[in-house]
Amino acid sequence: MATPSTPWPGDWLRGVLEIAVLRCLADGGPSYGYAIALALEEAGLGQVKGGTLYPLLGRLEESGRVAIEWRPGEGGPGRKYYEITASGTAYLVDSVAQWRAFARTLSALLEQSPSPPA
Amino acid sequence: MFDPAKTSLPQSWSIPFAMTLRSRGVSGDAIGAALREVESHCAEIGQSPVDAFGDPVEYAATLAAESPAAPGEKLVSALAPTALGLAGLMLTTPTVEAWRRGTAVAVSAGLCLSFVATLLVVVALVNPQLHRRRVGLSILAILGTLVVIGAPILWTTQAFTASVPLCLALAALAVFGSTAWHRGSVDPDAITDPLARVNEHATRRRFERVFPVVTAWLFPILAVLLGLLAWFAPGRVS
Repeated sequence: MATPSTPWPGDWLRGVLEIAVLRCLADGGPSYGYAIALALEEAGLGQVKGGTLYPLLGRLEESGRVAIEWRPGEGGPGRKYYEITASGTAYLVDSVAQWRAFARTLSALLEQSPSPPA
Repeated sequence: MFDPAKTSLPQSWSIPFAMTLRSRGVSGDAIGAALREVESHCAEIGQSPVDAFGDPVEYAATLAAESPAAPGEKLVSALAPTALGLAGLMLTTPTVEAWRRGTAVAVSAGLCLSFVATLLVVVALVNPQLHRRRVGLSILAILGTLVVIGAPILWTTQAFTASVPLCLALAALAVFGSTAWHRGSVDPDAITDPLARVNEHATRRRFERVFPVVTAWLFPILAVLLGLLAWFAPGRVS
């Protein structure tokens, strides 16, 4: 998907970035920060700054939703790989179901014809 | 130990970043991992750390709010064996001198003050908020050292006496106890390189391997030397 011409509002992204990252890891297998940022960009979420992505990955690591492994780099610095855990997968399934319900509710609300002013 | 200045990141970014994390109580392991992560990301994306992560102090503050704190027990376990070893060392000379003379050990008021000062300095060091708010670390270290070393020399008034076997046993227990304790906790939460643990070819400098062993056995070695001096050259050590 193409990158949006204008960036998504930061508040919107903050709410969905966690499940978007877990989705990338669930679909693509273990990955590292830069590759995850690229996957998010290709999915249409725009460029996610390192200062936003890594603290989020740190929170996922702390909560046990991802496991990490450092691997030496080939000719460059090493990489920290993140892999979704069983608890992360269960959390993702729940969150996706919740998100769909929320999106349906919001879409239904937004698609209503605006009422004339009283 | 992983030196934040020796990454491929500009020092103008890596040093304030690491210092801010350290000053906010983030563990050495977490600081090393954060530095490597920034380094790796910047190399991949081809951006400077300022462009990719922003201001180092602000980014460090964000990370610090979510990172595991340096466990206080680690610092205590690094400093407490030193205090124990110093106490044993201070008791060694008067004990050996009394043994040679065939008298009881005269413990001076200065020695007692020195021991109390050692304990106070250790307590202040393991509670950083005390010395950071009330008195600077360097002033604390200078005053503490002056009192610990100077008090037994300048204040020789006898406080109490004790038997030689009891004092010998206490001194030996303290210096060897310090060694056993120290060997079990040689890491005072240094910043570590996560890649060094996975890279089979990563070699530690010989100094880094030898240093913990030497420091662990420092007090027993010094105690034996001081004991020999007190026995064979009485009056030269106090």
